[in-house]
Amino acid sequence: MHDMILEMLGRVLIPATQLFGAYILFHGHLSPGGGFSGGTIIGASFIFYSLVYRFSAKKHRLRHETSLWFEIGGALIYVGAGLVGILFGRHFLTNQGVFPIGEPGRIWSSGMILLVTLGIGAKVAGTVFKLFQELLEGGAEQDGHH
Amino acid sequence: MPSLIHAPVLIVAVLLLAAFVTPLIGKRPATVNAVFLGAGLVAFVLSLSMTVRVLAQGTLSYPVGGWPAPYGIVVLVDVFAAYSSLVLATVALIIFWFAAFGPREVRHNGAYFTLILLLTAAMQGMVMAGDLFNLFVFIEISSLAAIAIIAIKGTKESVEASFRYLVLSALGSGGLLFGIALIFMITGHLNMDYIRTTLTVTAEQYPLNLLTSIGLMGVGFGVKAALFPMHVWLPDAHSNAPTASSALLSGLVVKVYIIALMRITYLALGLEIFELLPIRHLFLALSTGALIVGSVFAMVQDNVKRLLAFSTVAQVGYIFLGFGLFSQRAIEGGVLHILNHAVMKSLLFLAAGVIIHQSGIKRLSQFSGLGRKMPLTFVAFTIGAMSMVGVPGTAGFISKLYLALGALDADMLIFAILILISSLLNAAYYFPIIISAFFGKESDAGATDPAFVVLAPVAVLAGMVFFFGLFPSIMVPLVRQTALLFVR
Repeated sequence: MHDMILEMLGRVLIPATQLFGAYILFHGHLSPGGGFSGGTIIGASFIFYSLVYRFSAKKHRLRHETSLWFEIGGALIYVGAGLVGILFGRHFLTNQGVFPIGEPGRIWSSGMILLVTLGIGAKVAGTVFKLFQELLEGGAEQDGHH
Repeated sequence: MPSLIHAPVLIVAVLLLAAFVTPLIGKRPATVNAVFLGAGLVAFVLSLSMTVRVLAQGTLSYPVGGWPAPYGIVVLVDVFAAYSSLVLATVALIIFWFAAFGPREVRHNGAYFTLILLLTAAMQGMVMAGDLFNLFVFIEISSLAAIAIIAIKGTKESVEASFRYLVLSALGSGGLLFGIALIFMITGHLNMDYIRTTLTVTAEQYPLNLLTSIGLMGVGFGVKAALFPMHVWLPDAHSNAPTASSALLSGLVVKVYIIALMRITYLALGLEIFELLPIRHLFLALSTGALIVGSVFAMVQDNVKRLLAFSTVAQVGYIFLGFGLFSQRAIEGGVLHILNHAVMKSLLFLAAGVIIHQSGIKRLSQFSGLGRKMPLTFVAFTIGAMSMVGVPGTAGFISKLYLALGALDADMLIFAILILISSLLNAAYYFPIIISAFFGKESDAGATDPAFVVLAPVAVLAGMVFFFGLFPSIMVPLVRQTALLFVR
């Protein structure tokens, strides 16, 4: 099915949603927001993308592996950031003294927190989209074709 | 070794990392097995060295992120936590082996191993958590992972059982969260040490809050630990899960909630709580019920896994009995039973899984003569059953002996008699299986012992039953110091 209105709206709204999500994500330590809210918004944009283009072109489909990588990559970033503290002879998840803290009030002002927020954002976005995929395909995976 | 102070978080981190990595490499079975078993082995080595360190140098307190309590999160590994972590890591590693090389019961090993690793990581985190909030987070992770490793089998029964478990477990989680919130309300702390010191002042001002909180947490942990009469979900859940899941759930999962509950009592609430409230009497009454009801229900089961599941209900009663009697030797018995039951119930579940897979027979009434066809598996099953009954020389005997001696120390002869009766009840449902399997009329079912790689974890567990039965002194330093945390 090819829907002109939906596609044109999507072309405008998807980048706008993603930009807004990125804004929420990168300002998590400065203003309300952060990994969970930003990640959900970005995940919602994936869902929107999938709804708009799913039926029109096969090459546009986001694959299961993509959302899996988002999920796992996010979690790995978090645990990895924690382990850096141990490598530097401090404690797990140590921020001060291990990561450059930066200038207060700017985006680069919290050392590890921004990194961890990005990890959470990727994980949440991946999870939100993965849930959508699983609901959409409803047990198709069990029959071995997806 | 200075780096050993990181062991508590590294155990959890390694298991979590492996859990996240396994779905990515899910297409290559050999790599998945390597990561899965490697993580289990690393966790075991770390846990063992951490335990040695705690024994040598005392309680290990680890401030995550370098922030001190009460602002930061503190992982608190005392001797009880170290003991629990070691039991978890050891038994889990053996079950990992069975999950990797035993009969395949789930479609995607990658997803299954992820869940098992998550569950193990959460259990490790739970026994070491030093604050109530992290404790709750780990409880939630382990509850959900435990439910998922039942449902992953995909049969109608397993989905139904896991759904019932989900509903009751969520009820328990709600109680726990509410209880923790009430404690936070009157103390302003989540760190257990700080809660205890604050409670000495505020407990008198807000007795109702504290009472409600303890009641809610008691029910929450009671449901999750399957303490009689909150055990109704357990028989279905444990008997319909894949074999490795059953062993994990019965051997380890129900016990970590008991460990967490007992850690809250002495770390957060303070031991005075045992004198102020009739907690001990409640434990005694409920564990008596568990011992009798669990055994009586087990007797009338015809499905071997359901029998084992009901037996778990009774065995959980032993652990609570130890804490209810509250004499030093009784607590030692209860704490020792956490290890011994983990070993022998995993052994029984794995052996039962092998029997069911090799012969296709689940019903005990058809076990007749099977023991002569697959002797090694049934010898292992017999060892587990003897330990359950408490035959001298097996691990089960030691913990029952300590519990009985503890009952005499507490001047409660009646409970020593109860342990005796319960052992007789155990004998009444375990021995007929063995007798009919070895000496019964030959059935026409074709079955043989499986390959060595499948039988290896069963054999190791059977060896451990005898090892801890013949050399119980190896665990004495840990168990005695744990008991001294309660009885001073």
